[in-house]
Amino acid sequence: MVSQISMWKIQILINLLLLVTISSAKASPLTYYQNIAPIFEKRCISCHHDGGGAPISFTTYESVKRRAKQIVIVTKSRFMPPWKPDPSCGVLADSRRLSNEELAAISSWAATGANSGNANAFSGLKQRAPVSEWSNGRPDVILQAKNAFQIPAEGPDSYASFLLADIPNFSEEQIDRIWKNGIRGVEFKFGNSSFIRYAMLFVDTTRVTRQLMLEYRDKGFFPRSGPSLVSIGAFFEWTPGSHAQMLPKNTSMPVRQGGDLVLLVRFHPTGKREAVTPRVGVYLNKHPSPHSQISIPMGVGMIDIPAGSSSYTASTSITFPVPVTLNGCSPHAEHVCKEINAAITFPDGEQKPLFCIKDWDADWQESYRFLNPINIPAGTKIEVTCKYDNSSANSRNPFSPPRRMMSGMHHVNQMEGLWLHIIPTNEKDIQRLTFALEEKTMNDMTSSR
Amino acid sequence: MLKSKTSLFLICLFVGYFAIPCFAAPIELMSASGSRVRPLNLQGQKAGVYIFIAHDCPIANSYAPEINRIVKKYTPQKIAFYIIYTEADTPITELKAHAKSYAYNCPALFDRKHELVLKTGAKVTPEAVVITQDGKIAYRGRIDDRNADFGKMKQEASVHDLREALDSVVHDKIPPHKSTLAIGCFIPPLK
Repeated sequence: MVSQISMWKIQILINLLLLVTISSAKASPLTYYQNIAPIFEKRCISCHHDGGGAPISFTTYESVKRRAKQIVIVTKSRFMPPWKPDPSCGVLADSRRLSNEELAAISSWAATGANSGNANAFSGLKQRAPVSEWSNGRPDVILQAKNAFQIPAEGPDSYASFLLADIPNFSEEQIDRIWKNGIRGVEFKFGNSSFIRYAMLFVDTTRVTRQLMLEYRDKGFFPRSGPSLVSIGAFFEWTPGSHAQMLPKNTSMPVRQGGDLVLLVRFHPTGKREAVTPRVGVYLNKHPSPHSQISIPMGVGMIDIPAGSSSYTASTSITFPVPVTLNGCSPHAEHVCKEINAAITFPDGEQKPLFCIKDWDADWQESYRFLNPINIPAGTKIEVTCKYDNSSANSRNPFSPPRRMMSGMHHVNQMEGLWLHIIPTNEKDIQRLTFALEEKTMNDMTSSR
Repeated sequence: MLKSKTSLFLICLFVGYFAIPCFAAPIELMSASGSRVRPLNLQGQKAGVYIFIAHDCPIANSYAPEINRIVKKYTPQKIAFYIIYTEADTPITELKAHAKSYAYNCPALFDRKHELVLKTGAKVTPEAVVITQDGKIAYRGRIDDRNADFGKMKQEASVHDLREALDSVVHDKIPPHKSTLAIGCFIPPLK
């Protein structure tokens, strides 16, 4: 009898042990190489590598483990990785947004000892071109600002516009080729780029920058954001983590004859004085391209937001008179903007969200590409709405107490809204698009009165 | 057997004899200029201010100009300032280069073993700790309220907590807040 009881006890003990073994096998802790490194490669390393623009590099197990606690906090709050578009509207390429599963994996890994695991479980990080090299081979033209720009140690972000056309090693033949064939792609090079928030290479056909530059000839740059684009534009943008950008085959960014290339850079003080001489590598097409990528400014018109208002809304719409392919978009708005929404209505009445940001942050202004370009028939309408919070409850409000915000005043962009990057199906339709845009601008002006 | 027991006893005695004064020894850290400094020795000063930083922490770096202004203002009022690098394994040459490029106008020290980090309870960079001459912590926390949260930085601070604490200390008063929450980069614990 006694021995029977002990046998039961032993049996129970064995069962318990088995249970413990099974459950611990189920919840075996995640490891860096198996579970975390692939997430970092996909979402973080494009900026967080040496020379990648972010202040901290996450290319080794030790570097990630060291900051594990911080990483959990900033990923949970979605401050990092910065990806502002909401996944509920539109499907974008190269998303850095962490999925809920990825977020949970990072938290769980950090909470269970942040183990390395076996290095063989991870194929390794992608090779990235060193800061000094061009990732698409030597560009046809390298544009370089004449003088270095001095960034102060602190204070608000500063802007500088560089006129890049009249540089010494830019031959007549090259200028001619740019005007004729347009630009196929660009790569921005800023050396240590942790103090650069945003850059844009655009074509100024108004020659306004050229005029402004006469005054700042000695400096080699205009210390503000230069002329704003109100008409159809052509530009490439850079934000931390951006690499060489090439347009689809047979497509170019048109540079009309006489147009100037202007580089606009937004600098962010880092605590010490810095100097930078921006460079842009430009890839040209050998022949005139049959297609052009152009950008349509969907500005919400003149805004006038009373101080303290938390519910100001402004919107605009355009109906495309010709078929186009929608490649991507670039939201532009200032700190009091909270939401940017874009919706598309096809000629058959079908409606769907195109793009939206629910928690706009002007510090993370970037250009987005749709995962699949959207072919839009003539008669399609796109509507853009911006919501503003100019109250003191908006922690991003640059003014305390809040001030009245109007277009063109107090950090408010001339173009608040969304640029749509499109390729007209028929190249000759650009003229008709220009008319449609002028009509939209007139409508916006009449309705804002 | 007896012999080995005796020697073990002697070793313990030997270690114990030296360990006690060793544990009680004042904290001595290497500075960027190469000298050894005892930052808690506040003789002739009203207080010491220890500003914890990390060379790759952007929030800490953005405070360099304000730190230098505070040092300049309060050093003549008998406040000793120290920049404390919290990194245990970043090469010293890299930290020295950082100290030079940010031109801190007070001694920069390397707390490789986190002796000061543990003593003061600093958790993030930048975080400031004010210790009065009697060895008590008078203030620990943020320099000012410029950073509401990660990525939410105001252009100008409206509350200057460290300055307020120092204004109190130089007038032999108790600071308005003993501690505030500093927003910045966590100081990773030692391995």
